[in-house]
Amino acid sequence: MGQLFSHLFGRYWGRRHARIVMVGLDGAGKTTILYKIKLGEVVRTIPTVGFNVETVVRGGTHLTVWDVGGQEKLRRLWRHYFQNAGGVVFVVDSGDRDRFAEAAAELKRILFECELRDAALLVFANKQDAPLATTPAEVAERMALRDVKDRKWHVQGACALDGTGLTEGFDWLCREISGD
Amino acid sequence: MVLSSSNSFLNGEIAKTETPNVKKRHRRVKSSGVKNSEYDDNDGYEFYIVSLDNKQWHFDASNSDERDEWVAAIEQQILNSLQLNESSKAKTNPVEAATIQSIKNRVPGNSHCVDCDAANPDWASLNLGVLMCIECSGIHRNLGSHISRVRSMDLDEWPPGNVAVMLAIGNTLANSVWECQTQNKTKPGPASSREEKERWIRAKYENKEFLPPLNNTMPLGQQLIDSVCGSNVKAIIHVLARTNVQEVNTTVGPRDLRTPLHLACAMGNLAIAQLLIWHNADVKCVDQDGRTCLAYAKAAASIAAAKYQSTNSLNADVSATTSKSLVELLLTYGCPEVSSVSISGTIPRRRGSQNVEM
Repeated sequence: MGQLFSHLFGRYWGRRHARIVMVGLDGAGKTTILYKIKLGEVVRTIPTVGFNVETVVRGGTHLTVWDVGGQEKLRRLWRHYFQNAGGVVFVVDSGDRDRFAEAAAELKRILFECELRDAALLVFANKQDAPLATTPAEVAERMALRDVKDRKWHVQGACALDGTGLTEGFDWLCREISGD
Repeated sequence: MVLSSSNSFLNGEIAKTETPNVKKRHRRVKSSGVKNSEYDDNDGYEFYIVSLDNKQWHFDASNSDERDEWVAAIEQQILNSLQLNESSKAKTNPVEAATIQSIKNRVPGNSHCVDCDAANPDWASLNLGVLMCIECSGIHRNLGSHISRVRSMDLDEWPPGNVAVMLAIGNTLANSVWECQTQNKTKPGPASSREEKERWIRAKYENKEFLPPLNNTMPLGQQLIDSVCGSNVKAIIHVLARTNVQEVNTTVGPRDLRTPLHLACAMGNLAIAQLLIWHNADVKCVDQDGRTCLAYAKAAASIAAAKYQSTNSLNADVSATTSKSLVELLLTYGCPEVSSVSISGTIPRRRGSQNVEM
């Protein structure tokens, strides 16, 4: 009974806020995703030098989403945003095959960070509308997600411009974080 | 003027911080300084400093010159602190810094944004070989990486292939192709709206409306081979703007199966090879004798190295380094060391090509 109570309590009160960090290579579409899910519209972005942060409410969970710039020299600053992150969103440009190896290396690096050890991993295979875009399944393969065994992960095909896949992705993340 | 004590505070406080907030705040300090000097000249020559935790310090100078001097001095100090902070965290390569500077300062046209003429652009499109302002770079990113690959001059690493392309092209040369005939359309300026800039950029690179007229006397693939052989970068830009994957991988002839990429590698031309690869040149293609691009690049590298050893000249040094970088580039793109086609496998291939001729 006590266990049930604490489970309900946790579900309805304790875990309604979660901190999400969204990273990925520069130009993958992180900022566009953030504002599409927040405002429902496509904003005109410029490269993020620094970060953006917004609160997004999904099914009763308040997600504080940190969108951090992805240029090479900014990547070493990502770890400053990892503390207490319940989930990490890694965004990949599915149209830019040349950079899959670089993206996979960055993903591998952040999964070693101990501050992210409990964080669920959502990979957006973004820009599915790009010419010759890679399928989410192939993105999963190129990002070596099968080797990720220490956490729950999910790859979601997405197109931030029309919003395809964004709610599905964030809803998965909410379910993982709240333990439903 | 009570700045001295606060000035040291500024040093300590801002230098300690490590998050990107620093830059934002830095910008705010800067903009507040600029704002004052532009608009508040009659308001007793004030300026103020905004710290990371949103505290503000107001200062009064006795005249506008003195105020501007203080603002300049403080901004310099903040910049120094930030740079000190950066360099303690990460090694900054002096060679790289010098290269970035020469891309910005020495390449014709690079002092102004390629699309809106804003001064001191520090964003680049790798495959177009141009510099642009941050706002235009946002528009370029919307075009997709198949049209423009945007990088930051200051926040990204610059491998030799990227540098070589940036040094070989630049805004003036690129615009002599991409804006060859603008049909009396007005180019946007720095103050134009984002919509105007976006219309221009899409017309220029996506719809390719301003390119020079096409030379119809020769197939595009053959034009590409000619311009690669002549190292004619302007012609290469023009042809690559119009070619498809098949044309980029055209062979010299039915019996000579070298592609444009083979030729660029044989000449040890890093910039042209990198451009071709970005335009879908097949790094795994082999010639009639089963030789890969890597084999040609290695041959070029050893010739360049031998030349350098015998002459010891600066030019020979540069081309030895460049062709070595080319070898490394091909390896990172997965160009095979030797052809996967076995020796016996090349014989029917040759016969096949002879059959075509008969």
